[in-house]
Amino acid sequence: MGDIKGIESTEGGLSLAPWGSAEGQRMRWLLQAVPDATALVDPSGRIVTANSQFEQLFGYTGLELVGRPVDDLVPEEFRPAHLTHRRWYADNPHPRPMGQGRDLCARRSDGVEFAAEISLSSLPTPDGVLVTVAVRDVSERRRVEDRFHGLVESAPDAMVITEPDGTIVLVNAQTESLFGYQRAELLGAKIEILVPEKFRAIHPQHRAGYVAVPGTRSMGIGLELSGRRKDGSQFPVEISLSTLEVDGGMLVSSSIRDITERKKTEVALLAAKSAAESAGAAFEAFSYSVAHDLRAPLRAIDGFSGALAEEYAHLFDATALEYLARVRGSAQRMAQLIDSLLTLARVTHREFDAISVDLSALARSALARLAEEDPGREVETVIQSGLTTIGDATLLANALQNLLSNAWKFTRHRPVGRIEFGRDGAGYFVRDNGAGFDMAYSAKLFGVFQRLHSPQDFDGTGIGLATVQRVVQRHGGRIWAESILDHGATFHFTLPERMA
Amino acid sequence: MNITRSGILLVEDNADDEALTCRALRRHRLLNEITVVRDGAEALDYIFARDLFAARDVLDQPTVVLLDLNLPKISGMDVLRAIRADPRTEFLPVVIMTSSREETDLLGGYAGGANSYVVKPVEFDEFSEKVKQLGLYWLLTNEPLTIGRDADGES
Repeated sequence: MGDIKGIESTEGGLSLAPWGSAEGQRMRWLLQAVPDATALVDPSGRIVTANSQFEQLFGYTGLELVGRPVDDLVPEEFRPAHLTHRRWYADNPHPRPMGQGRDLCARRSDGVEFAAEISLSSLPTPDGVLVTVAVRDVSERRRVEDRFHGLVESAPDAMVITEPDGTIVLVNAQTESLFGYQRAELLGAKIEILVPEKFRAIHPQHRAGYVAVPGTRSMGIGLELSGRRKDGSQFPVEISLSTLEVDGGMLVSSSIRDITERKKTEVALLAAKSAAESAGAAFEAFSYSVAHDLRAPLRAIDGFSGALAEEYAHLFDATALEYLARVRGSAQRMAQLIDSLLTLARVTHREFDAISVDLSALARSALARLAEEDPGREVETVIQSGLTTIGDATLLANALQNLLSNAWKFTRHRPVGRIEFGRDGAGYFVRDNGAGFDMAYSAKLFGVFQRLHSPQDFDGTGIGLATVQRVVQRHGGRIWAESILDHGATFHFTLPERMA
Repeated sequence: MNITRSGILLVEDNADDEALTCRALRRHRLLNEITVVRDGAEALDYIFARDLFAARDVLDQPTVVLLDLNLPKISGMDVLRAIRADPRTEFLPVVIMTSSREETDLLGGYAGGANSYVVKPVEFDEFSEKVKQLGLYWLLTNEPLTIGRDADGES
């Protein structure tokens, strides 16, 4: 019904006759000279005339276009709205781009739609006000833009793109969710809307500073940056800035990352570190006190027993003197236990300091010291040269000392002891031809206070091998032993090299 | 500034250690030379002739101070620092005698200007022997300095 009425009104209100006149001809040439596809539309929405660029763009002949409702060139879904818009323009006929802020689409004769940019202006004629419609196919540009928007939208961080003056021109969904604003609230606003109040005054200066010396870099290096949400709350951020060259101008792209979680982790790490440090300090205080305060009473026990035996020997019979000797023996043994336990604890708590360590040299000096302290022994030592590793020198020296002094101790009953330190396919080893142990008890070997020999046969605190195991474990290695009772023992250990 | 030096000042809060030290010295006829104070504050009062010891002459000094580290009130390290900081006592021989073999204590002792650092053994015979050696060395072998610098640095 409307169409028919429209045709009537067109035919009645506007004849094509003037276009046949000389003036009409001039206007047609003018229209032809316009670079964009252009048509003239009458107040009822029918095409009066169009240039050949327009015909080509839409796939109609000139004849097909004249008198055709311009709505035919609008995709069907937009037609109802288009009618309203068209009427509105008729009442406000100022030159302007059509559909500002929206992606426009046009429809060709074959039904294919394409992205279009459309400018409108009004042209008063003796027959009434016509509307000049210039249409540009911007599919290619739209594709590039879409790809760009897609990139921005898919970025993991909030992306805010601004003019050099700080006006926001583009944001992604992450920006909306991070800052709690709707996109429409941000577009056209100044970037300072996202900056905490107390920095808002100074921010334009920083912004100008960046625009003066642009480039890709982090913002506020070394500073703790915060973002401000719509609700006024703040959160720690990390911001990277870069620039985009567009149409001879420049845009600033800010990539904003919420680092709340990372900050939390950092705080938790710091807390854990300081807890570890205070535990370390507490341990230091504890072991100092053990070293100092537990030794003093032992010195008194041993000292006064010794003084009794020395000064008052005439008052004691042999049994009494033997008892005194036992008291002193126990005191001295306890002193050794304290020392060993402290060593074990230190080996566990000591800070790990990895350097290059010459194990062969450590073994050589440990055996030299043992020979010096026990000059009566005949022991053959075989040390493989050039065994170096990366590890903690103090810990490794302690472990080798323990293993070698064990070997030294357990070869005591051999006319000629033999102690070997070297490396084979399985790792390092310390081998002796001493008393050995029963493999049935090998599981107990590395336990604290576990001993496989009675103190009458071989003295010891039962802490040495536990200490060695801790050292090896702290190097990420493992230790095991094999033995045939009375035919010597071999202790194997691995030391995966770890760098400092 | 002339200084006279005689005897040993033992700074020791543990009565057992004091008794054992005195016994070892007595057996080597060095006991009449010993003065005992039981905390760091008392040690400084004695050395600088203050309070209880105000009647003393500050220039009448021990030949050697045997100084424990773990002391009530003022620590052995602080006593050592105070001794070294005063021109009247800066060259007073100080031997640290402690149960501690801690690196930090050794370093602190030497850095603080201790003349010697001795770890008290638990074993009775070793202990007696060390105390005897200390007494003999500092009372008989070592040559004491009997002049001191005045506060203005002149001898």
